[in-house]
Amino acid sequence: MSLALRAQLLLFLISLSSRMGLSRYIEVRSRFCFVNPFTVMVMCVCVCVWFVGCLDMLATDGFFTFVASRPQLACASFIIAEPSEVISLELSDVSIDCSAGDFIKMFDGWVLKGEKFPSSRDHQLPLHQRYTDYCSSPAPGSTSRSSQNVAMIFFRIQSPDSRFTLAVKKLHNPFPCNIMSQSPEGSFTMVIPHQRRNCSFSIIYPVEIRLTELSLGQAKSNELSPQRQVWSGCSGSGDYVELLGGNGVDTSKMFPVADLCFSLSGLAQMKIGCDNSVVRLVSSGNYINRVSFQYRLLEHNELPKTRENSLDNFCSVE
Amino acid sequence: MKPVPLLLLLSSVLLSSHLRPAAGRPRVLPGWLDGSGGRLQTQRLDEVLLRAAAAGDSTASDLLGDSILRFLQRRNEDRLHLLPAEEEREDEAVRTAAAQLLKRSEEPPLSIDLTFHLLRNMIQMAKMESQREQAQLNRKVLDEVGK
Repeated sequence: MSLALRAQLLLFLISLSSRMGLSRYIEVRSRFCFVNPFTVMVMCVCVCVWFVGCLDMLATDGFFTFVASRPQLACASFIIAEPSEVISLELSDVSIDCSAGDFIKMFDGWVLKGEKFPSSRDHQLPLHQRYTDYCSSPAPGSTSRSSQNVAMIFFRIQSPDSRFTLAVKKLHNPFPCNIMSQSPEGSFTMVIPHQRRNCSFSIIYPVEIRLTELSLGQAKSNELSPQRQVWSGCSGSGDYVELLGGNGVDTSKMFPVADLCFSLSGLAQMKIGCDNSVVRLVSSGNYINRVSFQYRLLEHNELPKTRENSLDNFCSVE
Repeated sequence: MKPVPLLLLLSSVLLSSHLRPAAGRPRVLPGWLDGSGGRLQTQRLDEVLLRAAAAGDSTASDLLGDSILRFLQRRNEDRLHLLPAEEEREDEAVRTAAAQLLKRSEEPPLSIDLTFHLLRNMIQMAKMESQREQAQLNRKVLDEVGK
């Protein structure tokens, strides 16, 4: 059987299953690639339809359809991409009843237990602009682009058989700011080029962080002034890096465990035994600031010891 | 192009272009919102909306809109007067719209209460699925290129 005939037969079978309603119950996943004989280029045809549940995590490009088999009053899909990507969302084939209380809202970031990532301090848009409501009037929103590598949608669908399809596409981001790490180990370099903004790299694990390079524009030399120490407060400095630890995703509610306000050429490391460990770069916009770091998961026996009978409501740091 | 593949392609296009009709259901409101509860509940709703807007609640005032707000203020001034029949119908429509707006503005902020443990597991599962999909795609491409 020739290549082209196989591709067309596959497409026909999938269309037939969709027509008969079988795709409502079956996850149809197939992506077919073939070599174009004229250009000798590999071409891929995506006939993928993922059927998602009420609570889901999406990490791939594609089309995701939600079909309500019963009333679903509080649903969400989290979307995560690579650190150097942003997420484009587009709704299509929407059949919900907005007047009955159904809604679909896309959010630029994540909301977890009432806390938002990125925080309002770190995001450039005001909170109300980070929501795109499909049911809003006069202009319903069906497309959204995130400012960082995470996004999510909230939806409520009360009528059985109501549905919608979400197209997820990832786009390259040359200067990532506000990143949620997908893994507990890795390395990253954050650069803020002449922008007055704050960027956070969030690792939702207890980790050891090693800063391998720090270049802050305000330092004219590497000489230390006697009054300033490595771990002293940098308040008042326009450009600095701070390490945060906490048990939520909102960096404005986390505890600063260390900060650096001058360039560093050697190693600086710290163990943060919190559920969330963050490297945050604060930039005045006057310079090009850059921080490179590595991080690895702390084993259970490596977690810093908490003081007994301590009243501090804070995860351990060492 | 040969007739059989052309027929299959045409069938695929025709079949996949069929869209299921949108599903919906008539709007059904609780008794106190559709006017059957009487004028007392309506007055309470008016008072709540006006208080919220007057207190500077930007959400309430934005949602209410100027026209509805003016209508409610006018109604509050002559609460004791009976309204003509044609105004009753207009009142009914505005009351319903205002009630739904109030319902939306009183909804709790959207949030998902997931523990970090569950969130980490979900991220790992999604990442593994993404890697599996990419591996399958790579295998298909290499299979085809190798032929």
